[in-house]
Amino acid sequence: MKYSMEDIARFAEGDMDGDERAEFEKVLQADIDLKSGLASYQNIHSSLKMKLSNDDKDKDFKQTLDEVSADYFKQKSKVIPITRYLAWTSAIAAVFVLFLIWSPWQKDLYRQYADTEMIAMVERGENSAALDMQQAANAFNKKDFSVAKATLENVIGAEPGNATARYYYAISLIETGDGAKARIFFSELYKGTSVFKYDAAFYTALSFIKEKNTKSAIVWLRKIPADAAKYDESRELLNKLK
Amino acid sequence: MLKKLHEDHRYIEALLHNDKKVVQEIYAKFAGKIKRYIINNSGSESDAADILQEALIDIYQQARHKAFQLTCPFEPFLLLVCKRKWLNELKKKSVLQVTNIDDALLTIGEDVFADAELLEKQEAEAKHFEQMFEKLGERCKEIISESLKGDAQEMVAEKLGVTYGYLRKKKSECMAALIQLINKN
Repeated sequence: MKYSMEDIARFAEGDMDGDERAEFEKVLQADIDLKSGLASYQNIHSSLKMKLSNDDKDKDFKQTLDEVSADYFKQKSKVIPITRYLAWTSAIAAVFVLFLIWSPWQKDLYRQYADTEMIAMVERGENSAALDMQQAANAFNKKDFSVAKATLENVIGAEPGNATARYYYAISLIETGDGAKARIFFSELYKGTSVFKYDAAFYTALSFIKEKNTKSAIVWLRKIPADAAKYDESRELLNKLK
Repeated sequence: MLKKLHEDHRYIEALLHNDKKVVQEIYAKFAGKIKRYIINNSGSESDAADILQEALIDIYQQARHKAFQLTCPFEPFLLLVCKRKWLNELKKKSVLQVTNIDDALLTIGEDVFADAELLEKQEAEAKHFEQMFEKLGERCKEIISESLKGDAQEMVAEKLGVTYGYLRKKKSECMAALIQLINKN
């Protein structure tokens, strides 16, 4: 073959000038080996580019996946909690929740079971909705539900499909005394396929408990299937309601 | 041979354009199925999240850099890609119990297998090229990876502290060395 691999590289990279380039193109028309050499070069080049160049476009796409994924999968490692002390706070919270569930003196079933910590995503290059989510989570976890409600309303305005925002918004509604409106949101989540499906059913039941409507609460608790995260709690609560 | 594009290629185009609504549509429709499959086969919810994300990144990258085209329906294609990815993970972990692997696969058409196989083959090939690239000398790796970023060559030369002429010459030498390495292995 008249041309070396380096020549093919120079041609493919656009580093051949005038006459040399024209000559190469002429030979390329008839030379099958040269054609396949060039095709193989281009294949390797595009594959390497795919593997090595992680540009802004790639990063934006991955960020979109992270954001959407967090709405559908619970234990995503890329979803990081608001505080850096999550391992501790959640361990302490878990002990605390167990303590509350076990506690025989606790009569307010709503308070006992409605102990949810809001987890937001903290990512590089957040958009304003992501920042709002973080702000909402701060307020929510401080039990400042009217602030959380207003902030989440903004997020939902900007991102109507954000199931996470809708879920915590609806909880904030119950906490601020608007159970009926909360149930509209929960019922949408329950009809959907997000990870909040059965949590929404659980909270619908809790909203009825808060309104002393035990009958409706039981109906909703029974909708929670055995493989849902809230199943154990739902059965426990059913026993207490009967 | 000219391939006939399936109407579901719109999903691939949407991934390419980072269309969040369609990404949400994809998760809404398929995340549950993939989660169930992986949890039923020795995996966790977070494994399922990773597998789906990796599959979508592969599809996006090949659409971007290798003009990947969908010639079959998207749903069975995506599910097959995820299943195969998970099978490979299980093989790596030497977990042997894999159940209901062929459920719902019986009705899958040849076109779905062909597209999934092409995606898998191109991904494996790119990984192999990357491994060969890693064997090059530091200077060559630097020159190739900087050049691949798509910036103007003059800027790349300046960044690497070499002349434009030297960069051009060295880049083709390094690429030729890489191709020889690939052809030998």
